[in-house]
Amino acid sequence: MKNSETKKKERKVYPMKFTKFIPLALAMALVSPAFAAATETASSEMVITVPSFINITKSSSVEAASATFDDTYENITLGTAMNATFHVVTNVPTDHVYLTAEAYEDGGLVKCLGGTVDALKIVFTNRGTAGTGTTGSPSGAITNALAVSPVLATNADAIAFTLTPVITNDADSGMSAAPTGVLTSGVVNYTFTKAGNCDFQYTVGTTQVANTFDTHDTAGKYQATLTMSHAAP
Amino acid sequence: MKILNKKLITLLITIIAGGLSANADPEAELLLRSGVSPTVSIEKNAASVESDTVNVETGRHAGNLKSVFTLQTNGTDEDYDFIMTSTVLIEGGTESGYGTYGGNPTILFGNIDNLPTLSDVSNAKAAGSSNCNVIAYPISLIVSGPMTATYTPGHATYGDCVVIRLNGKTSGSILQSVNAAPVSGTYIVGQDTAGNYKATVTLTAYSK
Repeated sequence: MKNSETKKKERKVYPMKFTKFIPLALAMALVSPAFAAATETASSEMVITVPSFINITKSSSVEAASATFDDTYENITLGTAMNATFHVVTNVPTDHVYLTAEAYEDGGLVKCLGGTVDALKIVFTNRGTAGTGTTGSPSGAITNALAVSPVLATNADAIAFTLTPVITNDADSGMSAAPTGVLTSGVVNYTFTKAGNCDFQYTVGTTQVANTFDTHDTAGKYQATLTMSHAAP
Repeated sequence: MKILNKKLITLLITIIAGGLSANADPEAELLLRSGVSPTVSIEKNAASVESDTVNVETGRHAGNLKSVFTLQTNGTDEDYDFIMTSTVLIEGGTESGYGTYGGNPTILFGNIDNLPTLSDVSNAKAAGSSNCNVIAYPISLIVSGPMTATYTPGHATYGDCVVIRLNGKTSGSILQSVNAAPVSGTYIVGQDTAGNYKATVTLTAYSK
């Protein structure tokens, strides 16, 4: 009797416990997602690279002038104010451009800029009547013509003129400040602080620098080449 | 014991077959129905192309730039807002990087080496030409059907954004491609200095 009663009790307990466990197991299985760990946000970082850029063009120029002299041949006057304008576009705020000038002396090209960065001087030397000679002035003539106190006999076939710079920055292009220049050993190094567009205009004076023109300067075509470059000379 | 084991086996077979007996405990049925909650997975797809070098004179890139996201969810549009945003770095923080040109959406890239100002970004958003160090490009949006992607400037909650709707779909891709040519006037050599320009695109599921 006791054994059958125990068995009946056991039969009541087992089905209730088991059926409660099975739904719980199924519920736990359904909660777990079918895909990988859930992430509710993701980002894509896109980067484009703008390379460095600079372009220098000669936008305008007057590169030739006739000359007249006074009766003593001690003063020369140009019929036209020669000039050149360089237009620079750069996207590098700290970029540099360099201004140089060269003329023939003693058979080779020599730097011929002097003065100060805001009041430059440039020397033209004699390339002969055809304007193609490469001898130029005698050695040392350019240096003497650019000196504080030139000596006429020492700067034969070399005539110095003032070269006046006017720098105009284009604020609409982003260049809100003009570059600044430093003159060292015949080279003007301009340093930008803003990217954008800028015009560099240089105008040659119409009369010579004192003590650089007289009968030591023979007939011929006098020439100087003005250059603006990105690479340091 | 043998009789008990047979009953256990019978009970297991019944459950595996999917049927619950008429004597099932009602408390167990409730547990099954409340066990599933909406979840979502968003991943950036490997098909994304995220870098290029532009032609410095025109601002054009090769035309392959794109952000691609993969979305999976057991939820619906009633469970989540699926929102795509874009940001650029500016002086002092970040700013929304979506704009409009001709009624169509654009994305802004900001110079991370020379940060633009808020004014620059605002000007580029409106396709102006006075915007230093920020460049705008038109974008195209493609999603798996029947999902939709709608550019929504000035959304009341999320600001300038793209709203993605599932429309019953549970998984799919969202592709945002960047057109090769910049919006006219937003790229000018000199205004846009040399450097790296970035746009950060983010897709987020916001629980409702």
